[in-house]
Amino acid sequence: MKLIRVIKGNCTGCGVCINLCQINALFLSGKTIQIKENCTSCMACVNICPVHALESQSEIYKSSIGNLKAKGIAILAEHDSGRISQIVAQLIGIAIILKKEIHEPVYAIIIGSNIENQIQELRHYDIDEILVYKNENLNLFNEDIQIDALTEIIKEKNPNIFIGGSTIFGRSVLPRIAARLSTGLTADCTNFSVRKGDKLLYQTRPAFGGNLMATIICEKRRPQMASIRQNIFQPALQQKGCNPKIIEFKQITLPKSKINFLEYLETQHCTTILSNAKIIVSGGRGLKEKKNLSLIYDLAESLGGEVGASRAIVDAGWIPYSHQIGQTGKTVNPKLYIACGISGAIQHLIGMKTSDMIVAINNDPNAPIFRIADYGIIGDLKEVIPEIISQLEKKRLNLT
Amino acid sequence: MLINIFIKQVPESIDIEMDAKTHTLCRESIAYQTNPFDLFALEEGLLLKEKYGGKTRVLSMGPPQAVKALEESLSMGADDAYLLSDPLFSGADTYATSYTLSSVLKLIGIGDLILVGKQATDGDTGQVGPELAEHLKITHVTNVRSIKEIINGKKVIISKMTEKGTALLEVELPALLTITKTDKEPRTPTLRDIVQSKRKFIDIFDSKRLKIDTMKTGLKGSPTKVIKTFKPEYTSEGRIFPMSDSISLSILLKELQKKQENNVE
Repeated sequence: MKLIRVIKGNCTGCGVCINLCQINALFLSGKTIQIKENCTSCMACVNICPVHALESQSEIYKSSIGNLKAKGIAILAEHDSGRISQIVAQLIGIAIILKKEIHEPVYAIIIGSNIENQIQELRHYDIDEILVYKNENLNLFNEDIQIDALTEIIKEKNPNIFIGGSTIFGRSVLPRIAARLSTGLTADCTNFSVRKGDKLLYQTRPAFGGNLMATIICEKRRPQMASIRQNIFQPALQQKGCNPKIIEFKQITLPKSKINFLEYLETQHCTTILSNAKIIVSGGRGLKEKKNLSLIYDLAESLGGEVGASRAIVDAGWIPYSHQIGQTGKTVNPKLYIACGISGAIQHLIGMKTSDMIVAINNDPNAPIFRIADYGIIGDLKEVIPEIISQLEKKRLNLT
Repeated sequence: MLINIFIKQVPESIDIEMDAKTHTLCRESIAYQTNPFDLFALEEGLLLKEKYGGKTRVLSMGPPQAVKALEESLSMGADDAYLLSDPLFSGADTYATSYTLSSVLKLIGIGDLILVGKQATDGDTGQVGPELAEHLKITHVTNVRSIKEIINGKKVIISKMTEKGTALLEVELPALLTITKTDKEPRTPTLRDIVQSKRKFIDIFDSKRLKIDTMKTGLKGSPTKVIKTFKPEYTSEGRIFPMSDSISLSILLKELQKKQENNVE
């Protein structure tokens, strides 16, 4: 929707904005800029105009909090079972890159009970401050009061950017914090860049199951919030000699949580392992019988990978839902994905097509999975898989 | 029990075409369906009503054609349907959407339980549920795999899928739950259900009826803006070969071995 107005008296027709506009919504008519109907009101032109000839009519823009004091790049350091989660190093990795661009300090935020180990882990990263809130009532599940604590820290620290993981925890607490702060949040980002000058964060994310990429900005509200897709960004490495300042927030008081953890029903860890896995071997309808699933497990074990599944064999009850990859299952992004007997319906491809290397084994040479595969073996998986396993074993023996 | 279930109409195929000039969806060629996760949420709601009595309301925001999705929900057994529709709501990000959705419940009542799908297949954000809960100031839990029991209309026992496994939680009502795929396949309405549901009424709210500040809705009320869209390139010059091609197979094995070694490190 077009929400930008040209102030004719000011416009000199210099054309700076025309070059900037990503969607060619601006053109020169005589000596004045005109705006076409396809304008998305991204405000890029308003900011760049040297003579203040472009004006926003958007309320959000006008009512900008004037949050010019917002400073710093905060990351959410989630943790589990006494260790910081794998996503944290990836968040620190991006934060360090952004720091080079915008020259603002990096903060890691950590809250919970018994978090000394996790704080020690964080101290070995090249960050400026660790913002800590300890409360023995915090556990893995009482997200309602964790949201309270995190929001208080953000309000107090007023960072320019706040990023977290696109994990189950991140995707639950971040939207709520964003809503409470009346700011925007971009989910599942796969790329960031910074606009020089005003430090605006360009956040790129996939939508429509990865069929479309969108670049998104949060112009006037702070912090600029985003969650990041797992395993896309290079993790930061721990170093010696880092000495981040530890700042403890003691004054926060929390209400009683309305969420009470009772017990674990099943503790297959496969959810986390799938989303973090470097190698995944998946089976589909082409296995024909449940007993052939053992081939998938054997190959996964041989490669040190995890087992995934197409919807077909989950619905058939061969394997729990937590293994399902695709539109109504998980999105994974391993270094190696081996699809065995999976034809490659679009719903499955959505969940795995950003994998670094895709290998497909299928007896149908026209299976759509071959169109996105880096390697495809046309053949019966009952022959192909044992052959691969035995060859891998041979090579390993030769090596050792 | 008063259960509010939010649904979204989404493109049936996500293999969408973009208009190269305007960066918008080529809408004419698109068929729509109800977001798959929302149907699981609806099924959970209908089962709860059958067990504990009460009423199920189904709500959606979208263009007038979204009544189709609401009609489907009514034929599946929802009691009432509400559509929030106004050109001033279009172009909303998750913040403006959740604000608009919250305003209707502030008028007609929050009820005991709000159910939404875990995420929509078009936007894939999963943010509207938690943001809606925030606007309503009620507790939320995401990634709910099943609703086990309601205790005295005061608490709900649920199982949540987490990275460690499935956890059993007790949550005070009112609460908002985002539902993932469950074991309960959404029901298919019979012809009789469909005919009978035609008598049910879909209440349509525009911004005036919602008494909502339109500076907080739609594109105008959205903190985030899309400035560029593009189709990602997935190049595939894959090496596809039959099992008998031993040269190709040995090249692949070398690659697999490399990955295997890197994985061990």
